[in-house]
Amino acid sequence: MRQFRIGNYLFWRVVSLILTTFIASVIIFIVMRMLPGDIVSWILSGGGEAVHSTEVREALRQELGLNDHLVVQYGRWLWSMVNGEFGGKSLVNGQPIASIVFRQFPVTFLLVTYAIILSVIVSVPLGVLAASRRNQWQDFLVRLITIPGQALPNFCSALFILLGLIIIFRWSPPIVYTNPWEDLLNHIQIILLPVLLLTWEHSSHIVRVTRAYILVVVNENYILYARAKGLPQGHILLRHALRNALVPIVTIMGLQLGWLLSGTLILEAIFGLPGLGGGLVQAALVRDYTVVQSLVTLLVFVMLSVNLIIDLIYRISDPRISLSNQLTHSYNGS
Amino acid sequence: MIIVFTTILITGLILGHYNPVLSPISDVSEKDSIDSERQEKDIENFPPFPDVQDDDIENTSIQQKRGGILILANRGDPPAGFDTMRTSSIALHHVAGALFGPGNLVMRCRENMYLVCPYLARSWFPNPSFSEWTFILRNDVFWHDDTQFTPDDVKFWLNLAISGLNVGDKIRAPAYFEGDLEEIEKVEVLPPDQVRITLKNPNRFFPDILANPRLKIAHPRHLMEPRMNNGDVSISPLDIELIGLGPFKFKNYEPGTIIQVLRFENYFEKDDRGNQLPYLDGIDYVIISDPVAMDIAFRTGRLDGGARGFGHYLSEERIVGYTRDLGDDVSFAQIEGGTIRLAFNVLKSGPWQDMRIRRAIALWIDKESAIPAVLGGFGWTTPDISPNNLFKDKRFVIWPKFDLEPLDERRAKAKKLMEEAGYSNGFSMGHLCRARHTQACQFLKDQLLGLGIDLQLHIIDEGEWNRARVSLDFDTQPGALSVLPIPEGTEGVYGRFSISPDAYSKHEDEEVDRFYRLLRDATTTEGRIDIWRQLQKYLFLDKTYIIPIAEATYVVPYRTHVKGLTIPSEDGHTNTDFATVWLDK
Repeated sequence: MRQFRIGNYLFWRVVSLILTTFIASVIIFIVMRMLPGDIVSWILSGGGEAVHSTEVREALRQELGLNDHLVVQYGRWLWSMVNGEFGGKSLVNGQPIASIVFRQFPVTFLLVTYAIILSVIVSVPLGVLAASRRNQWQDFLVRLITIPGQALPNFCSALFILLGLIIIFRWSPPIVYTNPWEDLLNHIQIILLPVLLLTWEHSSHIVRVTRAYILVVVNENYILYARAKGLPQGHILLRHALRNALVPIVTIMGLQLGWLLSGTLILEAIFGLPGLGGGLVQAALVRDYTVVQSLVTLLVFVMLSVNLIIDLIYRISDPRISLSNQLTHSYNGS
Repeated sequence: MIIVFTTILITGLILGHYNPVLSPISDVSEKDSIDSERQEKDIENFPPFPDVQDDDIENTSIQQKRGGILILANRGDPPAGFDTMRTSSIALHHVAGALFGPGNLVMRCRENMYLVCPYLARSWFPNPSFSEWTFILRNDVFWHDDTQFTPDDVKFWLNLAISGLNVGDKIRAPAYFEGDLEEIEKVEVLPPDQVRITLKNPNRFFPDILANPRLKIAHPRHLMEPRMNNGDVSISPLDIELIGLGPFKFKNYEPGTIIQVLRFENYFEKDDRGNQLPYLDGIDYVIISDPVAMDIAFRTGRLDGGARGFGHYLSEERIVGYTRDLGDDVSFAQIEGGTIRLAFNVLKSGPWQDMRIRRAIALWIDKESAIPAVLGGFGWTTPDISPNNLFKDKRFVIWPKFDLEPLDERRAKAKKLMEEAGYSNGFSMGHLCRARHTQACQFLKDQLLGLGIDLQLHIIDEGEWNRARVSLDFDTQPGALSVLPIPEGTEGVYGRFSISPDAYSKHEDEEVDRFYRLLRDATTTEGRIDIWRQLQKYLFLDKTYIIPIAEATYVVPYRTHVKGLTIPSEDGHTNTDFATVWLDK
């Protein structure tokens, strides 16, 4: 019965995920076509600096298939998404989009993964510490660290740090990105600062949330009961308070994933990381429709998948939450 | 981490004399008074870039010159699969010179870019009426896969550029520069080593047109033609691993990261002493899209040279950081660059259709103050084509020599013209503003406010800029297209809308046609210069379709150990082959 319910739940969630991804792809297709601008002119004018004729522009538009009906264009792109070509080719440079994703995704994935792992390692203990030492110097110190982390835009702190490194140490990170399996030392040097910056930004939110929820939970009767039983403070915090505060913390972590991905856009440009964020921004600027459609669809799919995983984690972190309830709630639109 | 960050931040603030790039531009009001002579002097006093003919370079042995990897920044990934027929993007051409060479049959001479030098052709001659040009090819030119370069390659390349290709229902568009070559009627191969190009109309300056450094041959017939005939019409140079004719051959490309090229051992060019070029073992082009990131990498010694391209060219403020960190280890190459201008769409109704209004705006704008405010301190007030150019009308080099009155008098005259035109209370006027050039837009807006004109800035990204500038949907626009540095090459940006839809100003003035006809029919250089000056006066003064404001001087940093680099007087697309460069480390 239980297995059937999990299977049923997963089935409907996956159907919903696919449907939502499809709707998102239609929306992004329409939005991209509605945006003012012309990719053909961008290509021919070399970034807006060369003269070209109307005839050449029309010929290239035809060559790229942009004169076809929009439904045909969408259908062609959708077919290429499902037949393994992952969106076909970039209109700007003719590269297969699958190869672009294959190249860019690991960079962003590593950056975000490092930041999430570090955030979890750092932020939950700090949040617990701040809550357990409320209004003591430890709490003030944690607040001192986290408030700028929430307030400062990451491009600003990135530039300050880089310029500070030049002024003090006459040093800057390497300029050529390598994967960890190619050159680990170079990889660490180039990715360390953006990871720390993302971690700072991401964990600042989690620390604040953890602190707030722990403070709520420690006033519950069952915590009072645990204290009355004479359980050690650490045991109470970790086994009872933290576990009960985990659901909102995990929720925030999931919601923050979108922020994390957007945070990578600028950091990738500043630190020369050839990731998905920078690639997406560049493609959008020049109206590389197929690349934007494919990458945004991928990101939507990833975000929805993460949400699904988080919902499953709810079940593990709080057995009171039943999958059928979640399913019912999601169908009720709540 | 916060402690480290705070320490760095505080230290940075203590050492706060550093003025980061993000800081506001210099106070315009303090620099407004800079006069034209001062500007000229500034340029003259700017540390010269080491000349290729320096004695120490002359005395350096080939052993000392040979070897090393030059590390340059590149503004971005080359678009369009490195296809020189598709795009003139500097992100491509900064790299393409090394891969495909600095020219085609001919090239701009390295020492004087206004002259035409042989490249893949060893000589050429026209027929008496200048309607046929015959080029005799070198016999020692090889593609990077060691295949001999032949006249058939030239014919294939020119036909592909002019006509594109149709295979079944598939189409390949002609090259974007097809308009420059539209006078070509046919191309014939004259075995064993000649190519004859027949023109629709006589043209005495055809080699000048062909010497455009953007017209690089990147399409080996033996590799591309079979695939095109099989339906792969959109094949790009990247698809055939960038087999070119240039001094360096392709090694590696990691998109978003790096492009690496290696010396091509069979390259045909030799230096004055008969030593084979290039000297370098290779070049690494590191893709750095963010100018601040480039500055940081350069100042910490990770780069030998900066990127070419607007945004990456240095400003006065950024140079301060370079010289402080690197002292004598850095020098700054100067290239005359694009012009800031205000061009009117006189085909759209509005007060600017009245010539008096356009003239009033031209008189009102304090053009010299644009140099510190917009050009980072490097530039001069000039309409077009570099001051070093033979065709430059020297009256234009410093604008007040054209409108000689002091600013106050000019502005009084402007007010009077506005009044005469019935707009003494001003009016509102739109302006297409590229998001990457907002400083120039804001400068214009501030300037015109004093004349009562509310300049509405329509800030647009590059995608929309490329659509809107060709349309009639705007009132005014800045114009930002590069043209051939010869008078005949400017019709694309100054011509009538029906003939040149991409022209800065949209007009249908047939008198402009007449000037261009005269230019094409001119038989002497003096005659061309005279007609060109008349045309400039007509465009910029008599009709004021366009108000040239100031021309930028682009500054590119290089480490002083980079020797043998020939910096073009203008046009950053020129001399990007780096064949004569060596490292004095």
